[in-house]
Amino acid sequence: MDTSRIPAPGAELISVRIGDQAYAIDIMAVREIRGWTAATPLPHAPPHVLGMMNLRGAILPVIDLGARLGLGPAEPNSSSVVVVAQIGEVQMGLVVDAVSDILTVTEGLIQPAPDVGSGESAAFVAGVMTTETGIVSLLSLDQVQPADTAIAA
Amino acid sequence: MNLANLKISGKLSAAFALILAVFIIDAGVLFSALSTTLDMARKNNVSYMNSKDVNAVLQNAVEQQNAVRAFAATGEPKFLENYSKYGAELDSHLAAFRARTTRAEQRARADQMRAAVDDWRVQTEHQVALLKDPATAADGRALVDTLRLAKVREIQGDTMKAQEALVAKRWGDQQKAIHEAQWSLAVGTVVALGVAAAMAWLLTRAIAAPVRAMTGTMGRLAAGDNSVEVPALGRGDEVGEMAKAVLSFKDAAIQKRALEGEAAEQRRVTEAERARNEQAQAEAARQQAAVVAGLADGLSRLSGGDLTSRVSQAFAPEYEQLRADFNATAEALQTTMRGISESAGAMTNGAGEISTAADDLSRRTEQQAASLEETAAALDQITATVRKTAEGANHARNVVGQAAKDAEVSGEVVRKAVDAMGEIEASAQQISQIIGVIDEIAFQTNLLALNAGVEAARAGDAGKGFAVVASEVRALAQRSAEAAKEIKALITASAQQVGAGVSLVGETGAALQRIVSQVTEITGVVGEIAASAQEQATGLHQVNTAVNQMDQVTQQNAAMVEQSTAASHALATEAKELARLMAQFRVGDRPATPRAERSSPRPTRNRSPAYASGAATAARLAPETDSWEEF
Repeated sequence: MDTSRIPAPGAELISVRIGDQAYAIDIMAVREIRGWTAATPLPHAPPHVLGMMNLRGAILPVIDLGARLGLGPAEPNSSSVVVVAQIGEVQMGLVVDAVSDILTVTEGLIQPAPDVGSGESAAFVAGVMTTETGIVSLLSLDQVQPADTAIAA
Repeated sequence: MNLANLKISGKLSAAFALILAVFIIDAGVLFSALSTTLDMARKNNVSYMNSKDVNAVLQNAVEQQNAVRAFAATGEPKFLENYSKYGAELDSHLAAFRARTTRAEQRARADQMRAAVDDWRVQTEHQVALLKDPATAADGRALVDTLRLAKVREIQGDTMKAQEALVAKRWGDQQKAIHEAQWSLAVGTVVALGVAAAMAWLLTRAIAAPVRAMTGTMGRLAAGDNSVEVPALGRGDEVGEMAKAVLSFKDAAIQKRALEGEAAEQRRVTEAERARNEQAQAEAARQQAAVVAGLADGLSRLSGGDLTSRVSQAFAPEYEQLRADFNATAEALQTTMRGISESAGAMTNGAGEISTAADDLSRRTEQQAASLEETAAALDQITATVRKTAEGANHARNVVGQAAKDAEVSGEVVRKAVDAMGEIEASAQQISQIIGVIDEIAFQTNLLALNAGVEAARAGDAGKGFAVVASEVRALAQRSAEAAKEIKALITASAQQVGAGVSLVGETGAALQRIVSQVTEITGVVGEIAASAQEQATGLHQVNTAVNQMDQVTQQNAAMVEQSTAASHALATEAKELARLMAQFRVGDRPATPRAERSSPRPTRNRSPAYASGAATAARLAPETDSWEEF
């Protein structure tokens, strides 16, 4: 297990909801949380890229996080939320169904994700934690935008 | 021509014609004398007029002279006017005398007078001309004494003398004519008296004497003296005809006496004939007495009721037929009375049956009348009930109409309720929109709080407090969102319930509409019921009237049945009386004739064929009796 991907106790996480599932994102990677506005489609973009958006002059790609996680395409509506994340040097908009809560990491809260023999799953899930509402997966946003594509972009 | 052969009328006419001739001659003479007298008188009148005119001429001439003298004395013109006036009168009188006189010497004297007057006038007018001029007036006045009427007076005197001589001559002629008239009147009267006396004597001799002789002859003839000689048979006048008639009377009287002798002879012969006839009549009377005695005996027995009696003693041959006829009559009477007796018995029975049947009929008719009265009463009750039904139906129609109005009002209320529900729905919609706005605000607030939380986390320890505030704001935003969600759910539920209420109210309205239509139908039906009840009442009234009429008719029938019952009782009594009267006759036992079965005794109820004309009639009668019993 790569412990460097697990935040230290006292760090804060943002839990989001995609479908019926809850996921957590490190709050330090989040730059801003916005309401959904229609994205401008981008020709020949991958299926999980919904288009691009204008954030105070900067053009950002808008990514359907559920589709990127393999959960099926989302149907954004007025209650959908765009989480603007800073991944490395790249900013992008991640479309989720809702932002649920802000969690504070405590000692032993986060456990390693079970090994299912899939490298891709391990690349996306940094750990899991249990809360009152169920199991929440801690996402690792490094793989949301592959490196080659990120370089290409 | 013999005076005796002239008719009495001829004699009378001749006598009166003679007297009349005398009178006519006398009257002619008298008329001539009177005409002469009248002519003289007329001529004297003319002479008188002429004398008067001549005197008037002189008088007017004197007046003219006086007028001129007066003018000469006074000079006043009015005297000249008098002069002219008297001159005109003088001229007119002189002209009248000249025209009227017929004698030539008088006419010459008139011309002379005319000339003398004209001469005098010429001088006088010359004098007047002198008098008018004052210068010559003295000469004029001097002429007064010279101008005189001497010539005029002379001629006037001659004329008057001639007139008087003429009048005197005429007076003599007139006296002479009057004397002639008196003389002829006296002579004519004497002659007429003499002729009349002669005629009277002649007529008495020619008419009265023969009539008196004929009257005496007729008196003697009427007294029966047929030997009298009839006078004046040869005369040709009415007395001769009368004598011929008296002669025929005399001949007729002689012939009548001969006829009376013949009649006395005839009477003697008749007397002898009558004596012979009386002898024969006595014989016939004896035979008649025997016949009358026999018939009287038989008739007295018949009158005693014994119809079996017969006359057995033989009569004289010419009356034998009478006996046979009497016996046949008695036989026929016996047979007839026997038949009448049997018929009377049957009539008694029949009358009794009729009486019984009439009693039954009377009783049943009374029952029928009572039943009809009950029927009428029941019909009255039914009529009252039907009338109540009609009233109830009318009331029900009114009530149902009120219900229909109420239902229509309810429908209006339902419509208003539906409208109110729609408004509630609209309000809920607006509330829902507002809730959406609140929800959006809560959503945005949540996002802002999250961003604040993110910024606080980035700030590290410095953002701890800010993170708490952001957390609180986020909690508030979430509560707002949840509350808005709850309200939205409630509003939605409310809108659904309102929709359900609207549909329910709509159904209520439809149901009310149906009720209204059904109530309308009910109103119509109830109205028809009311009309039917009214018609029933009317019909029942008519039925009631008919039943009342039936009742009256039945009452009349009952009265008539009572009358017929009384009549049938009277008939039965009379039949019994008839039977009793018939029992007074002795009609004997049944004679041995073909009609024997007709007198056989029969039961009361069973009519034998003898009662009716045949068995068929009896058979026809029996069912009728049965039907009466059933009735």
